[in-house]
Amino acid sequence: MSAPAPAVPLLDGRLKDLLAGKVVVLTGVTGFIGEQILWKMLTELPDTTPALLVRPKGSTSARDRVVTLLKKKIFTEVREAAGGAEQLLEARIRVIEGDLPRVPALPGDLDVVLHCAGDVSFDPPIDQAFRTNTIGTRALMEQMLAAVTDADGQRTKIPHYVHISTAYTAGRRRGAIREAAHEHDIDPQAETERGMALLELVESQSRTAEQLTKLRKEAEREHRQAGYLTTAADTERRRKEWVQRKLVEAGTERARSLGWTDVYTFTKALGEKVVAEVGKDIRVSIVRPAIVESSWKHPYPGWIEGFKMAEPLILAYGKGQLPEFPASPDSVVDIVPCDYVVNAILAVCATEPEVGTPVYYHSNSGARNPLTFRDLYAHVREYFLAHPFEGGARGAAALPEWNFPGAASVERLLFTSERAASLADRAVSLVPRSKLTRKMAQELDRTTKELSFLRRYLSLYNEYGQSELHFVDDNTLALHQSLHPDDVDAFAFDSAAYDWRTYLQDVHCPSITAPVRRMETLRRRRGQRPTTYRDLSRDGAAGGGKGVLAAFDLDGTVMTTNVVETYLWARLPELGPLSRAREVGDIARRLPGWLSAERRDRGTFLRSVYRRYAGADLAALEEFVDTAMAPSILERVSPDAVRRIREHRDAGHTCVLLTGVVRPLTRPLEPLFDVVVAADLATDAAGRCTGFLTGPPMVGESRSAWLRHYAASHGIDLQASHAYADSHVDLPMLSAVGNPVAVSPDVGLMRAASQRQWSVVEWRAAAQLPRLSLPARR
Amino acid sequence: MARPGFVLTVDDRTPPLLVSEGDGVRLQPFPKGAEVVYPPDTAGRRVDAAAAVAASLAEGLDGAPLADRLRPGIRLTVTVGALEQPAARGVDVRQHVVEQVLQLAATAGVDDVVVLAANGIGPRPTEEQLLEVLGERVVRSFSADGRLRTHDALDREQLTEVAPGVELDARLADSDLVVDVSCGTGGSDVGADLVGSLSSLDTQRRLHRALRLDRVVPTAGAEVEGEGAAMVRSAVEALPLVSVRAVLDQVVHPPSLEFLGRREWEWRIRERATWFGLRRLLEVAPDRARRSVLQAAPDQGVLAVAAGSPAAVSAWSAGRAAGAERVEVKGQADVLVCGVPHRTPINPGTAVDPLVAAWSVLGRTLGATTGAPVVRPGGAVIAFHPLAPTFSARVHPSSADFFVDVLSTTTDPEQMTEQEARFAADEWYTSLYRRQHAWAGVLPFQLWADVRAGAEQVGDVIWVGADRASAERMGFRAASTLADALEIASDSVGRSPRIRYLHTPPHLVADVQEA
Repeated sequence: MSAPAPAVPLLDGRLKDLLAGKVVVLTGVTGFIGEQILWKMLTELPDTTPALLVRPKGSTSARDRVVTLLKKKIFTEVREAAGGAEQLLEARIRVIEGDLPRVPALPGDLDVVLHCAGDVSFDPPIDQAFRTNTIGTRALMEQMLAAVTDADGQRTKIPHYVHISTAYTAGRRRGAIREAAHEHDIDPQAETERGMALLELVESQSRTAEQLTKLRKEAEREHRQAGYLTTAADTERRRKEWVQRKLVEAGTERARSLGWTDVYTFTKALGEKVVAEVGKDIRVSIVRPAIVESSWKHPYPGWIEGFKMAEPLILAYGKGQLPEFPASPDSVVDIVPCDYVVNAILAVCATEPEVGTPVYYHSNSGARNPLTFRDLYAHVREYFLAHPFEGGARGAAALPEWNFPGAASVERLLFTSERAASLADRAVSLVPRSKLTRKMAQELDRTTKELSFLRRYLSLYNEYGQSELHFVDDNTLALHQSLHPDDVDAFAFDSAAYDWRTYLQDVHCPSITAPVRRMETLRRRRGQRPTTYRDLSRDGAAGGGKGVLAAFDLDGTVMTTNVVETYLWARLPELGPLSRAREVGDIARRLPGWLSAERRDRGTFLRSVYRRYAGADLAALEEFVDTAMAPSILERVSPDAVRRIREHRDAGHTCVLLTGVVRPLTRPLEPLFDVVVAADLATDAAGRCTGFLTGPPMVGESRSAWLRHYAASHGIDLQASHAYADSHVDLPMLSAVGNPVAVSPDVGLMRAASQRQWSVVEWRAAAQLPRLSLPARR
Repeated sequence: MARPGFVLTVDDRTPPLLVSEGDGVRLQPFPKGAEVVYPPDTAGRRVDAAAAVAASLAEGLDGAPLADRLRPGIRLTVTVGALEQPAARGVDVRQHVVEQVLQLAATAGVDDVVVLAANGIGPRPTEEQLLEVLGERVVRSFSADGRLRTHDALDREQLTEVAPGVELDARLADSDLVVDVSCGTGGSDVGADLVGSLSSLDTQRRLHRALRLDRVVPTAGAEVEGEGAAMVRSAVEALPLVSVRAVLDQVVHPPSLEFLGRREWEWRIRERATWFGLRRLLEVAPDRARRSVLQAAPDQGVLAVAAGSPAAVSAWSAGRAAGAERVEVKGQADVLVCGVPHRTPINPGTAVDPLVAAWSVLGRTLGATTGAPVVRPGGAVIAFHPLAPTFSARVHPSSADFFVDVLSTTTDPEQMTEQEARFAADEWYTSLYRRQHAWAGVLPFQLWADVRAGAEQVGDVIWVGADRASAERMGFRAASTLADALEIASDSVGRSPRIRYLHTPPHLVADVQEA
């Protein structure tokens, strides 16, 4: 910090006069700060023309987006005065359709360019961070310069470029930060090129055989049973996620290697340097807000759009989900209300800094009205003690008490919990399914969600929680003090003017918890139950059930048994005691292999079990099923399942049994279904089973394919149809219809079901014969 | 005769007493002063079954030997009933009867013989069951050419009207002689049993209803015949019928648990030890294992056999029953306490579901009297059963649906007629009844009609240790202990009611005398 701070240009009149007749090009108007700037300009600066650079979104044009924006609540007064959103737009606003960094030509009569577009996330992928903060800024400024340069290369006027940065561009510096350029010798251009090159590199890396194999294996571990297409879709999803993660990591690491906390602040800092460089012969001001939160006064106390930095943490604390925080209790949380930032920015717009000397402003509170982490915690805690979230069935959550034990100890706690959760997750995936397993998995999922939330926010905010930065705001204060007395009410931005208790407990917390409370009330009223399990009682009337099918899985859904058990029932009775023992022993020996085969591919597993039917007389097998085995099969049929099937039949739906088990075993259930799709055992000329099937067994994706084909050829509407299944393998079948229901699901399907809002039901069969009793031998 | 039943009054020295609760048993202390009614003990009075059968066939109750009615060329049908009775260890008495009848028929030159299993609306006997009841010889020689048949109440082609409004299996009407074979522990109207178990579904339903009305609304004076009795009489008169009935002893527990049927203070040390082990086992065993322990086949012996006209055999069996089942009690009690036996005619091989439990208490135990009920009108019934709503999908497929769909809308049998018709015609139940081994779809309606008829005679019905939701659905109340149940009942019967516990099984018939 060698050069003395330049003299601050001050205000010498009312803002509306200073900015009268001026054209202000504004970016980021759809964002949080931009929206309020526009509101302020429309309400308080009647003779200023905002020219909004807006990106078209999908099929919505820039103009339509602005019209939608003007229909928001805060514009009500000014909109009604103008006679409607369209009229307001016609009368006061210019819209420039365009995008950063592909900035279109800007109007030649522009006076001020106010650039407040930017990422809201702290950890964008590195390419995106550079694209917005250095490339985008440079492109905008170059178009600005082009707009004020005539055909001969002469400047027609000297514009004022106002850049919205962030106070945290100071990076990992400590102590007092002055309102001046940060000193570093990083070349923004070179750094940008390198950063952008990473996108190509990581994309290529993600497509290498090694990487794809790794991702495929991960996907297979979870989805192999469901089939190739499901696995492929998941692999591609994982690849995209991987690319994203790598780019984020690259950004963070590059930032840290140069002394910044994250890629956001790093590229913002480089952006400031770009601004100083490109704007060396025009007027330049740079405003650096700290943590911008809800408004203190305008447009109304507590105005906020979306969730910013501190809200997720405050809300998580209120829900009892944040047991501890790795912050230093005495470090300053530099929060500043949004309207103070907006006011400061507009005041800056009205100044006339010297050409070639950028002026920096800190918009923050830490300098003269500091809020420590401990105070913040105390206020938030006090607020939630007085106004707890209604906690649903279990009452309000217990608010954790923070001891601020330091980052290392929180990290340790988190690490241990994560280890435990991942071990438990492995265990849950291995234990046999049951109601208890499902409950355990649900609780585990909740814990894991909380842990990953903690992990994400702690790693993001860790440094901010311990920052020992002290932002000096002399320039801003000087500017505030030069406000015309008549402007002080509407444009105040002196951060010492409010007290934190009122701001946090009466303004900020109520404002950010309100939408959450509304959601909770709504959810309570609506009930938690997803509704893919539909009431069928009205379907039957007036032939409403035509063109609808209901597909049922057999094992585990309609019936509690498995192919190995049914195989034993079918085969053992015809064997002598010795061969029986041999058969059982042999199967017991193969069981582990089969189980792991089933985890990989159910089709292979079924084939290897069915191979053992080789030599059985099919006709005799069928007769045996009809006479001796039928009771054992019916015994294990769930009455709830039968009732549901019959409801579907009463409603006129086509009931389909889709199963991988061999057809003879479905015989006792045939009267319940219109169509039975099962595995057919191939026979030789003498009617003996060869141990092979006539076609591939009906598992995984072949079920959804079958359903689609059947629907197409029988005029069935799958969106109106129903499916019931119990295991993760059946995901494709369930996804194929509009009303999928998970029946006593395994953990994998349970997770998929809760993620997709499918109904989960419990169908139990009260089998009353001892499990080991065999159908009688004839 | 048997060691007579008696009434014990609970005092300080009375040990906790055995109470059956379907698929479990418990020892329950009773409040002082409660009356405990023990059935007669028929153990140790067995006869040689084969010899007794031969003697009864040689000399019928009305004097004529069966052989006299057998002539060459006649059509003979042997119906085998009481299929709910477990087959005896060794050779079942029904096998003795059937084999001896067939022997006589062969000797007399009768060729056209059909053996008909009289299962009524109950499950078709499985092959295994037929082998146990009839023996391998009969099954092998008759089933091959279709001469061993199971009755089908829904097979229109096999049914014919033998008397006005009574449709029976056509083979009965075509026969020159029908020998009806049955067995059981107590008195029984063998004619009614036959009509009930070999008629069309429609006839069976009407008969069931009429017989219930006959019981519930006693006709003034014994001379006036009820509608049910008239149906039975007209049908029986139309058939050339000889009934053979064996009276079995009252052993209901498997040999290792036989002491459960005896009086608690007579249990020996070893039996007490067995009880201790049994308790532990039942605590940890899953339902299915518990059932296989308690429902293991008892070693039931034959006490007597008689043959003759249905009326004579019915009268004879009623006389036998007086000694084997009847216990005299004084006056009506305020509170009836009873258990639920692990085996009823409805649930061989399956769990005692809530409907069967309710039927067992209110339809069977409560009605087992010679005249006046054991509990006063408006008195309370306290029964022991968990009422867990699990139903056998194999044997009682319609019960689960009845419990969920019908009972949730009404408990009044009068309002169930539409649903009963729907269940009766239901394709799935029909297919399970005709092709598998399930009860017909109307079973729960008949059970429920009996339950309601019984419940209407009394006030509160309280189930100890029961699932509250199930109890409520059936219109009953649930209590966690006997003391709580008495507390609940005290509203209607006061603080010191007269309590009477019917110590069943074995089954008993109370003969209520004027106090």
